[in-house]
Amino acid sequence: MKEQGLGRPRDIRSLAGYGNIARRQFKNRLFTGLCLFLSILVVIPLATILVVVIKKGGLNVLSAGFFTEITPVPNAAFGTGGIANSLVGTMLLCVLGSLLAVPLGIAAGLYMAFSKRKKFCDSLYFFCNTLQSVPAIVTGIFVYTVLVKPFGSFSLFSAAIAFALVMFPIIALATAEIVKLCPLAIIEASYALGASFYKTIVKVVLPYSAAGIVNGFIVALARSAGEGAFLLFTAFGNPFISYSLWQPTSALPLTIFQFAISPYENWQEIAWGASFVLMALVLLVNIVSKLIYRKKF
Amino acid sequence: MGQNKFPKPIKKASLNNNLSHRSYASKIASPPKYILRAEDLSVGFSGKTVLNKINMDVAEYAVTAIMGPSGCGKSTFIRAINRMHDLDDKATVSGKLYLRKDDLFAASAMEVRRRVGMVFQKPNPFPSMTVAENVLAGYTLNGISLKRHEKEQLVEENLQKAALWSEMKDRLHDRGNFLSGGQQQRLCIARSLAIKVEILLLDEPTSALDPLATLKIENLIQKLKKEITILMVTHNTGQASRISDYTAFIYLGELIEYNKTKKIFTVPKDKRTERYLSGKFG
Repeated sequence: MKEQGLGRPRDIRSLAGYGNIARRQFKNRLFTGLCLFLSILVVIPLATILVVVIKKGGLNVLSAGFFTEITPVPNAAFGTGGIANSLVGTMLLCVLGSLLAVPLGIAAGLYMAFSKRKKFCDSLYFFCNTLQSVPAIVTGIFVYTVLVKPFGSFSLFSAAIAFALVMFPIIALATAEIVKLCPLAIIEASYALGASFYKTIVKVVLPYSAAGIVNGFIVALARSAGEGAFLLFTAFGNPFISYSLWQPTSALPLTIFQFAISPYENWQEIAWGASFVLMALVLLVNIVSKLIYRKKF
Repeated sequence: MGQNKFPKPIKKASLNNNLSHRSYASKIASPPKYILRAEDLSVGFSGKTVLNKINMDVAEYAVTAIMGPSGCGKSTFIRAINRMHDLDDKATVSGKLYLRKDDLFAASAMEVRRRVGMVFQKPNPFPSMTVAENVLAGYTLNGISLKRHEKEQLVEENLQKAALWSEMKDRLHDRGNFLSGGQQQRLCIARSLAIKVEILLLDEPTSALDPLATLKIENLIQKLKKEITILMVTHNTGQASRISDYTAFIYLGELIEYNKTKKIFTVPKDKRTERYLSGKFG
């Protein structure tokens, strides 16, 4: 080895030459190769799901009236009927759930980030983390017991509450984390101008953290909208388009579940189409959130 | 010079920090020649004293520099004036601070901060606001709505005061954080001037800036003292000697010496001041 070409001091060069270089390089390549192999292994199921759903459901979407007609009766002709009632249900759930969860989630996140009652905040944090990991079906049973049974009916209202319960902890935790990243310097600058805590939050902290909070909201929305379990106990499903708060409503995951396990082939087709739409929506929402996040940070 | 219009700010006797508490108290009723007075001001963090019984008057319409080695408590002192320690649970503040005749610790912190402006070491314009919005931030953050012509007037007037108008007049609607460091710092000064503060605290305003930007800020400070009292912290003795009228030397939380800048730099009374100025420590 030429010392000058490598530009290394003598003692380090001798250390670099220590051991069997070929063996070390082999181990290195083996490790890199293993990592690559395992990551491909992880991607395979996702890719397969995408391919199958697109193959089975992609075509159905193209049929006339898939987005405008309500779900068909069993054994109707292929290509008739659509998922309009589920789409309306999912949209209503998204809007109502967000209206409930966003203000509460942001408020809770701000409190966790700024309150000086550290112990209380720690328990709030723990509570949010737990709520986040509660299985959606348990949330469903809970809402069923406290809302559906006393009211005597499945309803959009109870589904929206369950929807918001799934969204809330995600938004709260995301807000708390993102708001903590707001530099102390600009918070101090705001206080130094005589601003109150409230004005500092509204005019300085929230605009600074807006992209992150929107990102948290979108992740929560995607998670909730794709979740079907709690809908079984709350929304129940509805073959017609319903805008009433107090009526059962349909939703995409619910339609997929009910139609996919049915013996009718035309229903199964609808279920594949609905799966495709749901996946496309969730994917779109995720891409948008990534774009927003990247633009900001 | 603007300074001549106002009463000569400092008398020799009151510059001596060894005056007892009582003699200070007896003077408070007299008309204020000093805009700011600290009486036995102590600040501690988690029980550890950082600033020990500072007694000091700050002259009106003059530049007063506070110098001292790192960690001596100079920033702690001016942050106390702006009630910034209220934000820290671990901070304990005792003693008295008067702005003109008003007890700063009796008033609400928000009120104090509207009268006492502060510019920080690191330029911190609000990143979500434009240049113009940054200048007006004091109003929006205090919930005061302005008419359009008032806004335009305030923006132009204060950017001009901060020597930023000629550079910024075509960029008023750009985001504040795309400016250079020096411009950002002058924007922060304009932001404080816009709410018409009575005293401007500068916490090492040039330590994050290059020499050229520093020069601009120093010239600006010289110009501003005609309309506003400036109290600045600096660890740069050269800067203190260049631009200040009075200099205080704080060491290990104590006010060691406080006098006219010329005197401190030519005939320091305390050995420690002399050693600090000659670069023996700090």
